[in-house]
Amino acid sequence: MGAFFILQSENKSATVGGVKLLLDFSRESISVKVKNGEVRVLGQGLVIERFDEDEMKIVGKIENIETNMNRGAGAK
Amino acid sequence: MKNFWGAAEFKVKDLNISTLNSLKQYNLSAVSHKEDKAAEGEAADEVISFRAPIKYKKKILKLLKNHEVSARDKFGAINVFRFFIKKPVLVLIMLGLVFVASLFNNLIFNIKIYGASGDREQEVFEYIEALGVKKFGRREKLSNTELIAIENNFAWVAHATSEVRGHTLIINVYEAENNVKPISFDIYSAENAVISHINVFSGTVQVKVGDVVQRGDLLVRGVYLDKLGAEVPIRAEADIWGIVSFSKSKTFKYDAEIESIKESLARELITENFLETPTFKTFIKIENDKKILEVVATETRLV
Repeated sequence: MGAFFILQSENKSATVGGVKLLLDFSRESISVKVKNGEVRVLGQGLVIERFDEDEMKIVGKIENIETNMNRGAGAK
Repeated sequence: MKNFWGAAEFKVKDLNISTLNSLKQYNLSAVSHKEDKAAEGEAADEVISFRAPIKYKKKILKLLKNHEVSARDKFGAINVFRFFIKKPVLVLIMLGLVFVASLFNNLIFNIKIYGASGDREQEVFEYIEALGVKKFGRREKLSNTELIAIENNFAWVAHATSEVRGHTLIINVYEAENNVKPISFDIYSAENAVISHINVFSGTVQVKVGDVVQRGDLLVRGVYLDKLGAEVPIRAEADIWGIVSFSKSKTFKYDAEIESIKESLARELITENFLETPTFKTFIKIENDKKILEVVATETRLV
């Protein structure tokens, strides 16, 4: 399992590292479970450009990225 | 390169998230929602499409055996290979085109002569054509032999060079100031010898290794045969080595004299005949009741 990170390129793509599970997938929202919480990408026409063991790259018109991390996650 | 060998595109109806998660080990790409065309009045089915490397196609289909799934091969190296296997005529035509292109790439399309004009240019053209150098011939410079042939055939040419630029053969000729024609220059043996080594740079060799030659014998003729079979004079150049022997003898009375006589004869031989230190052999003969010591010295030398 790779390290957790989020890499956003303007509002066109976002790469999330350390993805454990895909929780929800629609054209407007993609949620994934990462090591210490969840990441939710909101937008329009969202497509998973790459989905493998470590990373997920999402393309489309990205409007917001929400994170819900467990307490103490950032301290590690 | 991503999916170099090709990819498979899948469309799966009602694919749930947990199954999609189990597919991520197959390096999915272009995962998106699509709506399948539905009959009038019915709701469109939810379809998820994705791509995966073609090597995982069977495993993915096995994993999705309980789903309604369609799979289609996308363009890749394997598809290209399959395409050409089915079309051998096309492959032959393409190979033929490549062959023709490579053939044309090795040809001379134009010949230019610099340094001569008018009749002289035409003369050189005709001469090199007679030598076999023509348009649509091999793309290469003239050989040294051909250049020397031009120099020797035309009194007004002092020097000739050639080069290839693109598909053009350029021959540069430099006019002689005094129209001096080349003269033949032969190589003769300087000694009586047995030929031991021959290396000819120019000219026509007349002897071979092992031949016994006398002083003054012709070793290399200063000519060569051009492509038309004519003898062209040239300055002969060669390294030719031979085994040369000289001997001296002297009478003696007492055996005690042998060593000193041997030394003095050897010294005389070296001084008179040899360039380098030779090897010596001594013989004792008796003629008319007289003892004779003969010293034979041999070396390999340039003759």
